[in-house]
Amino acid sequence: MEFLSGSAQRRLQGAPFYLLLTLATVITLVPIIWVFASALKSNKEIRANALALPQEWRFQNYIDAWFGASFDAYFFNSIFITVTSVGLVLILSSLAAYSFAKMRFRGNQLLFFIFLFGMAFPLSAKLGPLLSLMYELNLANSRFGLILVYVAGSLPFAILMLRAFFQGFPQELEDSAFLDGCSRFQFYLRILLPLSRPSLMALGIFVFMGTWNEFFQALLLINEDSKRTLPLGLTAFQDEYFTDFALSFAGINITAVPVIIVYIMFQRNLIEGITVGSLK
Amino acid sequence: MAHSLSAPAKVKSSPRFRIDLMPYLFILPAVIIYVVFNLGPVLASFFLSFFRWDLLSPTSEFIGFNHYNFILNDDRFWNALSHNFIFLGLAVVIPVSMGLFLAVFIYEIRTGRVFFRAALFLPAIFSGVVIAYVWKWIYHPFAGVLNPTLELIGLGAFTQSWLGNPKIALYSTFIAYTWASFGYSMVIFLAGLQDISTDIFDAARVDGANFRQKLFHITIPCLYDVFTFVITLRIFTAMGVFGVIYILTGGGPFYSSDVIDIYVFRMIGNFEMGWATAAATVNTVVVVFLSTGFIKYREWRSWSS
Amino acid sequence: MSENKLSLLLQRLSMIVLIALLASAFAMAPAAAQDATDILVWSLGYGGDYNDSLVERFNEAHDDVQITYEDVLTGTFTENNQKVRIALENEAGPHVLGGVDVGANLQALVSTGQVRDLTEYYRASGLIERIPANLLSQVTVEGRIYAIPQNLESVGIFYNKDVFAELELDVPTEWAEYIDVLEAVKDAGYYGYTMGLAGGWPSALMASMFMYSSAGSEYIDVLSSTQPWTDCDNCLDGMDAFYGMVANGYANPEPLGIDYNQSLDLFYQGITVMVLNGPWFIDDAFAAEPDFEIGFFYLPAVNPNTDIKTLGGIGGSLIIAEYADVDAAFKVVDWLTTEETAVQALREVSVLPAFSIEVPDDIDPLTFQIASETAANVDKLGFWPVTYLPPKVFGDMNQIVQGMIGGMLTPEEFMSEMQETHSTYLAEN
Repeated sequence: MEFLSGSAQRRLQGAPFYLLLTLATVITLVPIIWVFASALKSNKEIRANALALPQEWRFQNYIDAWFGASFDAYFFNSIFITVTSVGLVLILSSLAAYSFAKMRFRGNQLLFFIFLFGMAFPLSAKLGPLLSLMYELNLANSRFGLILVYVAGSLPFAILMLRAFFQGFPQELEDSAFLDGCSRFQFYLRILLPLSRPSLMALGIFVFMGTWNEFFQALLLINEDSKRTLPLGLTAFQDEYFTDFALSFAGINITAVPVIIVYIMFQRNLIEGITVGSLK
Repeated sequence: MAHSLSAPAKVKSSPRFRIDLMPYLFILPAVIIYVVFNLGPVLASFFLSFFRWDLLSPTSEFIGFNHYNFILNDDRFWNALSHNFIFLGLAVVIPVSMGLFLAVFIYEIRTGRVFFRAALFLPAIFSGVVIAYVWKWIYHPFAGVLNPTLELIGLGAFTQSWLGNPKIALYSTFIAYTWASFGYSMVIFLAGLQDISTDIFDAARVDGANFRQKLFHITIPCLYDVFTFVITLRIFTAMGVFGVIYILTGGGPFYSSDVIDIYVFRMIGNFEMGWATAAATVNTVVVVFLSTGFIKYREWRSWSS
Repeated sequence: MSENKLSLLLQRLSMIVLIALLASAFAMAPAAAQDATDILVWSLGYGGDYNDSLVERFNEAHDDVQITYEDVLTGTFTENNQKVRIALENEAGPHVLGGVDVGANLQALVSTGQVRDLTEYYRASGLIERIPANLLSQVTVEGRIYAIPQNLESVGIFYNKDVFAELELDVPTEWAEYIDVLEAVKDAGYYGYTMGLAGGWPSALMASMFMYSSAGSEYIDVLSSTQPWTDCDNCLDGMDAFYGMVANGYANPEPLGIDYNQSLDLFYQGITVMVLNGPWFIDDAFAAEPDFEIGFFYLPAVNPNTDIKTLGGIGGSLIIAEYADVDAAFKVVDWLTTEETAVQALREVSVLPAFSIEVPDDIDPLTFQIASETAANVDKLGFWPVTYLPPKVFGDMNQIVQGMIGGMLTPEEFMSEMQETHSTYLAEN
């Protein structure tokens, strides 16, 4: 091995890692690619050979799912619910996290612990009373009601993450702002938020993914077809169209593609959002 | 999480002596929404588990531990809970170690880190519904892709009724769960690795440490806290697993893949609110006990060593 | 740096797209209601495009009442029934609900007091004469009528006519003949019986049909818990017959690995030759474009002495919520129960009406055959027996049937397991 230069040697040492990683990547991605390819096949092609690639690309499957099976309505519901939830979570959690991280008040630790407790229990622990409550408040079977439930569900993690981030802010920054006559709310709005853009972005993407994908609570709280989100619509649709293989695959893809696009665009932010809460 | 719990908050000293309402005003909107739509129902669930209540009639009657008595004597409850524990046992080993190894591999390479991290994390971004349907198709005994693939690579003997065989249905759902969750462990481990000072690894290389020595003597010990977090996360997800199993098997065949959340959901669907809330409360106690117990144990071990 | 600029551009672009999407989401919100009374109709049945066109036609024909239509079916039947129950109870449900299960579910709805008593309406509208007495009895609770049967589900065997012709098989009329057919089909390398039991609900339904076709009304006694499961020998015979479909190799392999809809695809592909199903299947089957002709016969009774002729029964009923505007709701119901609407449903989506009508002969032959045979036998029609089980027990029954099909329980053990589950439930309630 003496005749190899240092860098070439290191590259060769890396070869097994590349091999293993490539193998893992292939195994991971094959199901996804397979679902995309199948959505472009006709039913007969899928039955004849599940593994083969499409003979000709049938985009008609997507058109049928979009217009024929109300995926257009599901899509807009998902967008509306997700974007509103993300906005509310960002506003509420940044306000609360600022208070938890930077202000001294009685009950700070206790209140924060109460929020943390929200991350510990399984979803099933609240479902029954939640259903009852939503009907009491006239918020069942409503997109607005679902948004409130999603926001409440995302707040613990959001506050945990932003509090950790805000704690890292130098105290001098705040002190000098107050010397300039800045109120705490002005400091929050003009200085803290703009400086936290990367963190807010990471959190926003993380909440976006979670809300877009949520299914359990939507299943419980939404009845009417016109109010269904994509994952919920997909379950109803699957029951109805399961023997239409190609259409099923198209429906799965319509649900998955928006998160893939958001993921590709904001991949760094998302992973930062996941790891910052764990390591800080 | 353990760290956030124990980290003291840096607080600003208030120049005035009267009660400062501002901090509360900042927290208030979040508290209201959180308490009404999240914490409140959980506490209500706990209290209602001591009452006869069917979700419809407002009248309820205190019946003490009757529901718990039923739940704890129900074989199906223990069956479901044992499946959660099997899931948990597998989940702290398989997705976690996959995540660790892949993170180490990515850390070891020079070019393509971002690509591999992004590609391997991809399944973790999908909805449980999407994941379950993808795997339902993969497992399909006639039109699916898994059995033909096994035959293609000469493993025809392993072709199976993946979801129909009561002996392996639970494990088939676990594979789908793993596919969707190892990415989380991976990115967290990777971030943890990148926080370790490179000097340690450089020193190890100079000493001629091989891959395995580095892994067991540097990487794993250095990632102690990351392990605690990753495994705690698995406790939450494995004890609360629902969507994937709900769609893949519905808990069947013959309760062979039943888990607590499916059990509870079945009860809610039948308006057996007493049993549902009691079962959910038991599960919550188990999760809180397991996670806090685990975190305390890890803290104690890191102190004592 | 160009990478950063690109990602910034992409992010800006995505914001614009997002805002545009949000704007269109708001624009899609329904327009404000006019002066007409709005009647919200929920449907628990399939129908899709046909129901939409039905609503459109109603709204065009009426100025004073307008229908808003919503499909609400998701998840299992039990979950749907319960979700509808809680919505009605909280007055947050529909004004008119279609596709309601009769039996225990209707009784439960009535017991919460949210379902309008339709007895007077039946008399005034003459509906009482148009619905056969045995169907009327199924929507009657303690002497009062609460629902309007919409369609009939006359369940039988759909079969692959080409394979029957190829093997020179006749349509069986007795159980022994049916077994002979299954044997002949099996010898020729096909599977005779289509079975997909994953995911729960079909298991209890399919097994119930066999028990019903063997024990008849005795099985209803079992479901209503006036007779123990373990004492019903005829039920056991029915279960043996059901188990025999798998044990004797008549059914497709992996019945627990595929769900009901997936199993239908085996029939469309010509892998299985017969499938137990109802008239709603016709539309689905035509859409799947199988390359063979489909025929239909009633499943011969397992026990020739049973007191029922056919399986199935009321497929879904209409109810009116107590809080609905009565006059407007009755206008909707009036229109839905006209002969014209019923014939249209039969013609367009093969839905067999529950009221006696003249079956038009210019419809597709398969629908015509089933519609006329059902009309001829309507007095002897049974009904969906499982609607008499409490939902919790029904849910358990699905799993227990799977246990038997999976070979973990014998039919005898199935009976004792059901007895235990059922009696435990009753003891607790």
